[in-house]
Amino acid sequence: MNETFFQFPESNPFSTRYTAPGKTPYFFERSFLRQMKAAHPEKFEELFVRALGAREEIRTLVCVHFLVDAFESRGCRGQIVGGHGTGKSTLLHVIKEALISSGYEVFSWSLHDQQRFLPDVFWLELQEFLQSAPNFLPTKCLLPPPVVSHDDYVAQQVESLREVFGDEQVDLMTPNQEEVEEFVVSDEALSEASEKLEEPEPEPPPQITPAQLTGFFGYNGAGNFGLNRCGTETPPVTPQGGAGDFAPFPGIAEPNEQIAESESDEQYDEIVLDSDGSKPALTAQQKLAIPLSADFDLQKSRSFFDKKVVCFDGFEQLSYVNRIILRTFCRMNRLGLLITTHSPVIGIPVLFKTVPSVETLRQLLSFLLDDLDMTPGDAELETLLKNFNYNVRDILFSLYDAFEKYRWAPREIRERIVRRYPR
Amino acid sequence: MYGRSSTAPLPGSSPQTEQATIWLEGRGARLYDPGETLSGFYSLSEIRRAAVDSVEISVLWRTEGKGNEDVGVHAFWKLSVQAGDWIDPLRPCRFSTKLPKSPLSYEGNLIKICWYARIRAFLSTGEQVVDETPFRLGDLPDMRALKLYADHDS
Repeated sequence: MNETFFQFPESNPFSTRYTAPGKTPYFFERSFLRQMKAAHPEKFEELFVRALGAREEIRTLVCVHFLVDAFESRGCRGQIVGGHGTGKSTLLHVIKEALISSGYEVFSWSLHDQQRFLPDVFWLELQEFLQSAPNFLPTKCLLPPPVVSHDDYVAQQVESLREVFGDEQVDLMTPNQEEVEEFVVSDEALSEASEKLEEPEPEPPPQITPAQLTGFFGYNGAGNFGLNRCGTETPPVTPQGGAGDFAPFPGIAEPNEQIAESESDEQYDEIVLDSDGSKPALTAQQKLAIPLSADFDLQKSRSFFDKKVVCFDGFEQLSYVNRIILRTFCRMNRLGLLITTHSPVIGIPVLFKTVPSVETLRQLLSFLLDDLDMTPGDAELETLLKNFNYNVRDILFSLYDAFEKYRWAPREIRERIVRRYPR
Repeated sequence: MYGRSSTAPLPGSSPQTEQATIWLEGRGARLYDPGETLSGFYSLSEIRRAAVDSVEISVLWRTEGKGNEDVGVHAFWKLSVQAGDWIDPLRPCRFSTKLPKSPLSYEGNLIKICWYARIRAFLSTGEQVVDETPFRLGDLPDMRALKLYADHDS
């Protein structure tokens, strides 16, 4: 068989080999780029000049770096919101590459369809991802609190001192049992001293009643809780009962992004529970209005060594408990979190909403049909979008079938199609 | 990085694939029977010898269609400067392997199985230079012929 008579058929440009996330750039609308340019002209110029030397699409590169900046400014937390087949995974892949080029370490995970729970291998690989980095810091979230008696604790301290200073010096530093007994005070003396002192009880931490927050919440709420203002010296009471790190738990939702981003004069950084430690009953409006301290602390404490991000594709499939666990884990270990979801998740800033349009679909098809003589017109594209309910994935599948028919069609029909869709 | 050509782009690969060339010898039809020996040559042009870190040559098959991609590597050779291999870009080198009995090349509607001989050169600059040459394994009729046969039977 001669090679001239044997021709390899052209690959289908709409197969997943060319359309899967990572194989095509995400195409932004010109209006988005114009908005970014108007808002940050100097940044735009810098990114544009930098993008000139790159091989990727310039517009995509500039827009993605704007998104990376927005992601960093929001405490390395963000979500990409969009419907089925609108390009969320493609955009996530493009942002992931931009993050890697910016010096981030990225842990990527995507769920299968109908997968509601995180498998064990996910946690194992996430732990390896944490420990592989030189800046791994074990936290309370990973390690259980030490449960030792006071005597064991003293014994451990003495042993550690012996390793450093030697036995003789440690014996000099630690008091003998007899010396200790000289300073032991009897119970009677203690009771007498306590009666004399009669110190006043410490004042309870100042709390703001819901009645004082009617203007903040916009309604006369009846929830029995208070908020501590930033900068006050009173230690906040956390669900664990101690002061310091705040850990969210089921029952308190995080704020949505509009209110979290709103600039108010007074910021509240902690939620104070009831004295009995019970969870306050929050209404939907209250849930939206309470910014959590962990968000602000994350932004303040984020440094160069925290450049680790978890990119999670298909967050909306997870169960409620799994969502809480994943977000808590990322927050406690100072990991950034970038997710894709169908509907906005409360508490994570919306980075971008993927909505396909005629313009973006035309760019995508022109990219895929680069060396072919057919490009559909705007009317056909608009019809396609409406017929497939703005699901670009389904559009590409239908075009795959159409191309298969086109490829095997007789020569006359192919020429007719080319005449109908001139370049 | 992105782009659609006659062969699939690889992440980080250079678009100038003419710097690497791989070609098959034999009858010229690039149609091979199962179990037949496939042989060919590869070379690199316009690349200095010091600029090449390693070269990979592979004979592989790949599925193409609406679903996820599947790839199988039948034969693989790697030459690396660090391992002490001598890589001369200007001198064509030969490779040879015995082809397996399956999977046979197939051109269907939903799925295609394509065989390739691929060269991938890793440059010291971090770039990759890739070239792929497709060939057919077996002589399975394509979807069009099967459909004609079915229509004729009915």
